[in-house]
Amino acid sequence: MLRIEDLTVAYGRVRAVTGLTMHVEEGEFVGVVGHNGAGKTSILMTIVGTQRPAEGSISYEEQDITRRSPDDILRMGISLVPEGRRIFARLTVGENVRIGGHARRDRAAVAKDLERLRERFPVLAEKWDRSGGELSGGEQQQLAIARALVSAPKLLLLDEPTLGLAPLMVDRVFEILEELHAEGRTILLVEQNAKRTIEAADRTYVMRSGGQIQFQGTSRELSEMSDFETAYIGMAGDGAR
Amino acid sequence: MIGAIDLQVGVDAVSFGALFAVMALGLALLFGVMRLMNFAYGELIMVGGYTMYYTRDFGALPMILITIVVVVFVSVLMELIAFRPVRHAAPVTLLITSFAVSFGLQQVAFMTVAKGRQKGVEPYPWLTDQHHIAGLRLSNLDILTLLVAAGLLIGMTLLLKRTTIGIQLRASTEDYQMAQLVGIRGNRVISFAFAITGLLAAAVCILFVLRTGSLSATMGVTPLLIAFVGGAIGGLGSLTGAALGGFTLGVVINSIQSSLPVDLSGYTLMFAFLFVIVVLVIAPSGLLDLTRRVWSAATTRFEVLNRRAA
Amino acid sequence: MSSAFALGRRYLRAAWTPIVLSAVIVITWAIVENAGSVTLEEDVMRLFLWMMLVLAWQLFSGNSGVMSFGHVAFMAAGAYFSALLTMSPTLKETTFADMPQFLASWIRPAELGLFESMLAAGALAALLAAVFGIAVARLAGIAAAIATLAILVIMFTFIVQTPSVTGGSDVLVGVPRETTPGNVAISLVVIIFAVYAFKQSRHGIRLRASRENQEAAQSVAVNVRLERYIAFVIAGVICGVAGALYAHYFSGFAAADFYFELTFIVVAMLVVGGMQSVAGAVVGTYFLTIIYLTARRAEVDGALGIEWPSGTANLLVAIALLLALILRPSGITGGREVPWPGALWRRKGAVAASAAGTVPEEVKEAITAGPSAPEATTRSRPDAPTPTSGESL
Repeated sequence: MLRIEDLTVAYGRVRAVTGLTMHVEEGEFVGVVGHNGAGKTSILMTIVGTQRPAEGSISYEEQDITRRSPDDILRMGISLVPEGRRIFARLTVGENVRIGGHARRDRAAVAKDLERLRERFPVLAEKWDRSGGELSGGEQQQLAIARALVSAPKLLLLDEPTLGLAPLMVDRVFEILEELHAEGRTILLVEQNAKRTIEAADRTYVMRSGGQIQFQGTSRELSEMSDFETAYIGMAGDGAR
Repeated sequence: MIGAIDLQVGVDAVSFGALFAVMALGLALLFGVMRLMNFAYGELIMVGGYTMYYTRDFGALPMILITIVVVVFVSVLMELIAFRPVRHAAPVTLLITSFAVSFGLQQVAFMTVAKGRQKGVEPYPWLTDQHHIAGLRLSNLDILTLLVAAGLLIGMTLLLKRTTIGIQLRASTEDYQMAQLVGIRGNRVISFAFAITGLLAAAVCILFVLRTGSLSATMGVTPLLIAFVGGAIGGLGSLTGAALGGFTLGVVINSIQSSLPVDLSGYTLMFAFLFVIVVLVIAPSGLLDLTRRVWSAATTRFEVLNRRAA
Repeated sequence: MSSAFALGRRYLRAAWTPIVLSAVIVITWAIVENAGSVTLEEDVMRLFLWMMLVLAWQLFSGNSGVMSFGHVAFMAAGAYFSALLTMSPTLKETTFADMPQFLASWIRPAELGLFESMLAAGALAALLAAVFGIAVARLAGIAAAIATLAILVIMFTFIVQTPSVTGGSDVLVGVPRETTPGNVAISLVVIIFAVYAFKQSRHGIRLRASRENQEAAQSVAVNVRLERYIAFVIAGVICGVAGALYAHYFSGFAAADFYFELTFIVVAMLVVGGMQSVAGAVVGTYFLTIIYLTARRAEVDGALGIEWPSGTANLLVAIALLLALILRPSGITGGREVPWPGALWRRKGAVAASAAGTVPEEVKEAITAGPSAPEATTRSRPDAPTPTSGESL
């Protein structure tokens, strides 16, 4: 469904990602883990169109989306839950959620989805008319996910959703992701929490700094790699409790 | 009798301030969406003023409608030609661009409509008819200004809170990039913002010209300064703050002007701007923001004390 | 001795930009002296005096990235103050009959020469800039720009409203004509060297680093406020001195000469030339002055058979500025200084960092690898992208 070929992303003279090739198939739950500075966020920003790559291409459902604008890419069915959540603090919870769906034509379907979201995220339903800035970190994370879901995406991208969350909330986030995966959604998850990600995902890419893939595979394949153990121990310290 | 005079001054100042509240709101909207401090906003008033001059014989309603259309058109055009190409530049670049547009428009006016004899628009006689309410004099113009300003502010609030485009505008104002990521089309939102602010500018212009009557190529400069500075004092990051700031400064300037002894009243602008510098140093993100923070700090402390006592 | 030669060559290379720019000034001056045309002399005087303002603006705004609308106010202060000190006492009796005694007692009898009045102008400008600078240095972005705008309006209003000291909005006449193209050319050369030296000094480097990334600069112990303050005051002094020279050449001037129109021209010249370099200040001034003065001639005398309406010259400047902002925001020079001839035929990588208007690489690396960079985990990892600090109100 999503194919990234030979991607290079640079900020001035600094290369965040170099020669990256990866892919996501429909219905898969793919994880991307690695240290800070490994270029993970840059990959997502390039997919959604807020960042232009220096080299390489990205194609989605056989179409080249390398130079498309973010609002086009959203309409094609890719939705991002960004790093830091970035909910609109001055809008209410309801407005935040609804704005995720404004690009859709079928208002009836949107209304139904909103209802289902309210069921799935009861804490949001409760605080529907409060302003986004009043929510806790974990609630904001749910709001950001809900907002992304309202656009009925075929591919859901998440950038470090568990960053800064309490362990209980981390569990909840992974629970939601597993539910979505079970419903058949395609998910690309960028995370610091390597252990949980590798366990939850169908396949995981392990990146090192400079934006190159060090390892990739299912959780079983990764555990069988000999040099993975050492790198893994380094990573398991990030965020795993 | 002194009390009545003070209050009279207050009433005039309030209607004057209302104009600047509306204008500051327009500036804040553009600042919020694009990080653009639009110096050329004052020139929209000038363009509207001259439009009124050339259409003054068409009757009140046609004159008003045509002026609104022209000003909105110029506003949207301004964005397309001058600001869109530099949209992603640093705010300082945008500021200088707006400075260039403003200056350029003034020069065009000097070269065309502002040549020769000074033009003016006769205020309609019925506007100066006064009513006496509770011992205060209120001219029809004052009443009209207050009503229109209040109407516009309420209208803007409804627009922002209830309509889809309003929510999109607020989202873009808060986090432009994130708004794009949820599919909001930046161009559309920004053009809309310029159109709406054009409408606000047209209203301010009409009320302003009906009040003062005279036109010149630089007539927009002083209102812009007051609105800009007032908005900044209130806090350009928030629409309410900017409107309040514009209002306050308008009231302050009008009050200073009326209450200073005659030989000092020319210094009004000077004192006003000294005041502005002081405020900026104390509260760089505006007085509203400062007030909010002080308020929440005070209430938190109050809660803590309460809990300790309990 | 080859080492003396090498040393001399190093100094030459370090001062290459101001040397070349000064040579251009001197050549221009020589042309004026020998042409004997009064109009040419006036035009070149305008050129030189504007260039001083543009250089002052480059020193502050170019290096700090903070927009200042207010420096023309310091020129006004310098012009008026120096004029008050050099005009003949009898003339002052009549023009400033109402001057309050505490000022008149020492101003009226004063009859200084040009040089002393320049010093006085610089001193007053320094004082004013020192006071206002306290506020401006603390503010960022738009707030600072507003504060400087306030300074401009405050000064203008004061001058217009206090005729007893300034003659009000009328043209002040009778200032002794003591400025010669020579004084101005020499002053300009001094200013060019000073502005360039500042840019290359520790202060200049720190200021430029803060322009690139304020938080990071602060984290490596750059006192941003202090650096801005210093630059603000120095720029103010230059403007004050320029004001004194202006007053004593054009002999008659008014408050409106030091307001928005002049501010606009100065901004345009630097932006078109290239905000980040001293060469940009000089190039931009030459470029726009030629356009402006030619257009002014056309307005007055007509050209190509048309009566150009007044305002054409200003409009052309506005258009030039807009084009620069849209098409080439880094200006004609792109922020670069005068290239050393040797570097022109060497590979890019060998160009000396000091020839470029950008922040030296060591400083950049120190900043991007600093502890405040969010993604870097160790100091030796410069590959983490640092977000540039956005403008906040």
